[in-house]
Amino acid sequence: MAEVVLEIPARPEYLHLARQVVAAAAELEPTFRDERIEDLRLAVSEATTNAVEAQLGLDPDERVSIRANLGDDRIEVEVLDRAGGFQAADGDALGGEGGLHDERGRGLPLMRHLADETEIASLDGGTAVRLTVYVPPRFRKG
Amino acid sequence: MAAPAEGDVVLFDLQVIRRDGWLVLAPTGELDLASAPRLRQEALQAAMAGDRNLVVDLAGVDFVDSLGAGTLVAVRKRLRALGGELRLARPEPQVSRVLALAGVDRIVEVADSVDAAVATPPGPSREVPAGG
Repeated sequence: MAEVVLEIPARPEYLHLARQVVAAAAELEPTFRDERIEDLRLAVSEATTNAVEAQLGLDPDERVSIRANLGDDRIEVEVLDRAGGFQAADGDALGGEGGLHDERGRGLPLMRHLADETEIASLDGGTAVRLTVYVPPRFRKG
Repeated sequence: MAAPAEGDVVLFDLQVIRRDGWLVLAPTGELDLASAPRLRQEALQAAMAGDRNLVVDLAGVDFVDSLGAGTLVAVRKRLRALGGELRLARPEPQVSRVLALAGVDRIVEVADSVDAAVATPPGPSREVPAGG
């Protein structure tokens, strides 16, 4: 399993870099289809945006870590902040009428829609979001 | 808008033109936490100055996430409150998909061209047909 680790300052202008690095890492997996890379790029953008926003008001010089694990059957991306716990409101599921006119609350349902697995854990002093996207079975090695 | 300094990577830019009573905002680049506040600010400034009917031409936008989509919803809400209207035009496939996933295309009219977006005058709160 290959691991790619990126640390960014908790500043919005670094979101582009986080998306690019994860997408470029996913492209190294030859069996990973473009549409799944787009799913991952978007899901990572959502998770990293939450992390950056949570930390921005506290200490933007504090870092957000993005860790991509490229496995034989999956890509796992973990986004870790140090902002003290998950703050984002859990909006309606995608497609629901509730919240359609609200500005906020789409990030988490979108992540859950895009990734095959989304886990959110409160760690000591921060939040870890783990997104897992599986490689289709017929392409798995070994 | 200040010109970018030499060597800067330009991830977002915004052009504004007037068309048939509509103000067309054409952002270029990515619409995310780094750039969406600028689009919002430009749109709300225009609205406060009397331009309450806005088209956001998305042809130059190659990435949007839920924050960008939420910003469009917020702009629409504000324009509506002022008696105005928001329409969207020419989203690329990635952008179109996110607008659909976020439900934005159910509350904001999305046109295939800027011409189509400005073809009908701003109307009394026409609802976007379901599934459209």
